[in-house]
Amino acid sequence: MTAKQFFKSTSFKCIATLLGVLLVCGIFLTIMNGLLEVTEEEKFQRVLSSIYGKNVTTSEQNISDKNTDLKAAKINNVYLVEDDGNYILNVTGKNAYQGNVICWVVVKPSADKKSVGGIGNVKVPSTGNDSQSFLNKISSSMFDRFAQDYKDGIIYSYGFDDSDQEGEMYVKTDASYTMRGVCNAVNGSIQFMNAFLSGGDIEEEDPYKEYAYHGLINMESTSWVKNGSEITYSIVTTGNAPAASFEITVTVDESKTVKAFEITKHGSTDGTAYGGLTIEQYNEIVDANVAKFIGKDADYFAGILGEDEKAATNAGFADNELTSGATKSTVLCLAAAAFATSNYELIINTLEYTSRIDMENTGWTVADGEITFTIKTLKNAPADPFEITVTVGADKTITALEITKHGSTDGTAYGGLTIDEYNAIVDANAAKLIGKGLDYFKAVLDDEGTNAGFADNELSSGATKSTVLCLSAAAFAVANYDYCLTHVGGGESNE
Amino acid sequence: MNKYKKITLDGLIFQNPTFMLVLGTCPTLGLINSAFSAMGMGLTVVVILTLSNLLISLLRKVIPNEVRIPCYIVIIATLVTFARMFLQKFLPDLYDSLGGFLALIVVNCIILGRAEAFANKHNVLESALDGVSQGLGFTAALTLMGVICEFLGKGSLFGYEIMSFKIAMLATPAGAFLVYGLCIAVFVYVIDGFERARRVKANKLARENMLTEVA
Amino acid sequence: MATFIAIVLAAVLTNNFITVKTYGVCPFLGVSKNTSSATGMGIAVTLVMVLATLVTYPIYTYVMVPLKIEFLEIIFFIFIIASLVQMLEKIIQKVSPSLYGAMGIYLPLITTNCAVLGVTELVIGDMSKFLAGASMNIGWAALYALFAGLGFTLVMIIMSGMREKLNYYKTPKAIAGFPIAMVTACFICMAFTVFSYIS
Repeated sequence: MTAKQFFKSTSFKCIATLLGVLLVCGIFLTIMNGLLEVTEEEKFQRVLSSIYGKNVTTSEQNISDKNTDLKAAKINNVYLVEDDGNYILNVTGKNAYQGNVICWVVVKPSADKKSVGGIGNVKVPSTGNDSQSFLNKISSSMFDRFAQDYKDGIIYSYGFDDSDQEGEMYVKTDASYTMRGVCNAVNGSIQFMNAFLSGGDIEEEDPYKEYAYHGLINMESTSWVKNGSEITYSIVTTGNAPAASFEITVTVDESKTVKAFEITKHGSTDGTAYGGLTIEQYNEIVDANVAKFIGKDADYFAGILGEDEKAATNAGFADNELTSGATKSTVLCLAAAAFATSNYELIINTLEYTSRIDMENTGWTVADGEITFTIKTLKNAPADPFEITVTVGADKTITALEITKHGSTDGTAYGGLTIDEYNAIVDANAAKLIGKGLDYFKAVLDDEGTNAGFADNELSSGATKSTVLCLSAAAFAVANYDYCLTHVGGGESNE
Repeated sequence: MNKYKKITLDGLIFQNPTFMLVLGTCPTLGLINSAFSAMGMGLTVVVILTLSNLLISLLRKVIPNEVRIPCYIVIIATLVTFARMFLQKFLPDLYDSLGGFLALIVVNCIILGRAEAFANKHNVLESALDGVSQGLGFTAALTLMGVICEFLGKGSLFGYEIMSFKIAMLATPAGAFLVYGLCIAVFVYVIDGFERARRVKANKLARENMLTEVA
Repeated sequence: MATFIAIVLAAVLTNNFITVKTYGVCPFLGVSKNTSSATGMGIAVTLVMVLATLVTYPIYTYVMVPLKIEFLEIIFFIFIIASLVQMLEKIIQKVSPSLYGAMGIYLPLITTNCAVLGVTELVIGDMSKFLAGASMNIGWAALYALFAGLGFTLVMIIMSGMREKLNYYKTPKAIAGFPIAMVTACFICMAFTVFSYIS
């Protein structure tokens, strides 16, 4: 085939047409791509306008010098909407369903622009929130409630009932934990923006501020048991470099002095490398020092430690018969003793297990070493308050428990049981509480109020929220036996 | 003039691509859970189908028979890519709601089918008209089923909530299959009845003509 | 291993091409009248899906992205698939005429099967969410394509079995053909919704 023939053949025509079509199409698309390209800026603008409901110009605010990792939420980005002065926040709400939830929150500043004046749109994008598999169960009108319910100082919470309580987000079922994360995100946004607008920063609040001398105490690992007028503390200290944390058992009696002081785990470290002593030598000094703590009261320890226990030195040691040489370790022991003695009054007079009890409507009467509590619980949505009469015997176990008013509500609307079915479960569970003491309730109740400990303790799940209320009432009764024995009444008559 | 009327009616009813020919089923089933995306898909197809019919009809004498299918595919793919860019730029909401089905318009049998069955045999005007009417037939069918599925499955219409009662199953692929199947049955039944009536009428007319002639 | 399981479950069950994504419904309705043709079609589609992914994924990642011509993806992909199908047809015809007899007639239909273009688009886009944390590579892409194809085949076989049984029963004339096939498909889809609870 000659070249001339080839150029006249069908094959050439085919190839030429195909290539021609491809070329024309390619050029056309390249031009169009240049004309119609969506820039990154435009994409971001779309995200913002979809949250805001209209096109706006925004500028990102510098928040790098602020505390953005709050307890409830983490603030990722803050944008100022130039058009009307509102702010758009990208927030990660913590403690949502199986992790965190990413939200967009519009925050409106108040008239003087010094604090938050309202909430605008709240949006939860479906992208990036893969773990929130029930997100679509929350209707958009639910998110509007954030804006409608806003008032100064509001803290949003997620609930189960359809009441008009402000700030309570009604979640039918399945998506309640997602809603918890969203509420956290909005609450965190308000907290952050209040600080941001006023020009300040967020101070993390100290949850243990009512306790004296807890600066060197690891409060999360520390616990105490009341036994009559004695309190036995299991204290874990923080480190006090170079000393590591100590674990100490302290008993304080009625006279508010140290009755027993035992170090269950020493924290001193080897100091030979820098001219100090060996661990054994340190331990000897510490043991000798703590032996002198017995019988001493809060004033004694305060006198040595001074106002700020974290800055305490051995300046007051010699005057108080203590040996220097293991100062850091001794300070930790002093701090433990100071904590135990100075908080005696507070702890002995604080009722325990009150988080689910309506204290204003709860009272007790004492007769022959037995205490009969008339307890009204708070509600534990969807369960309404229970009214329960509990009798605790001298051995601090439940001798009688009667539910005088049930609080379970109908759950059939969201796939739950009827009131009668709930009541039957609760009654069966309540019957098993007779004869049980505080240890039992400690094992079965957790802070979150879940049914995790039910099965191991012969309780049936299925009416968890109601059962938790009964357990809380019983735990309240046994835990506060000693206090109530000596304090009359409770409720309004208590004052 | 009758020829154009026939093309239009064929596209909309008698050869409706969705109900009579059952073509382009994937985007249909995937998108009729929302009336908005169903209608958006339909209108996108109208534009692409019209343009592709037009171009292919224009080029039908230029393109050699041996490479016509690859050429058609390239032309259609170009149009789809263009539509994708256009939607992404100017109608991002629709772009998002169509998702992967936008790119899959390339393999929508309606478009290649019309190119092969109609556009390469007819002139430009007829082909364009065929594209519009077939596309609108597709759009009408999708919108109809989109309204049914969205109204019953989500209690809303074009995204606006209307009632709280809903049969969630109808907004899933299972519901799409069900509604699509039942719509075909009803549509075919109605068309059959219509054609039978037309035949009966024609027969009656013929008989009357005969009778008058006899008389 | 977790990624492997996550991909297999997503491809076959939770994101089945037919019952969840409604990709590849044309052959699903058209070629499911008896089990042998449904199986042949399913396997042919699976084969093309894996091969197409093995070609398009590297081309997209190593050629188109560096050259910034991602916008030409549809043209490239459909062209690759069409050529691949053509080549496969010729090769099978040459190598194994018996296989060609069983599978050959389905091959030309596959070019316009959205499952194939769909899988090539998915592996460069949405697939990352099935990876359970691992980073995307061609191995995962091919694995996903393979099991998506097998999931497709599975539903094809179920459907053909049901339609074979349906032949023994009288269906009202009004719903014979496509309507009854779609109602059947509706039940298969409903059965597959159970798998959406796997997470």
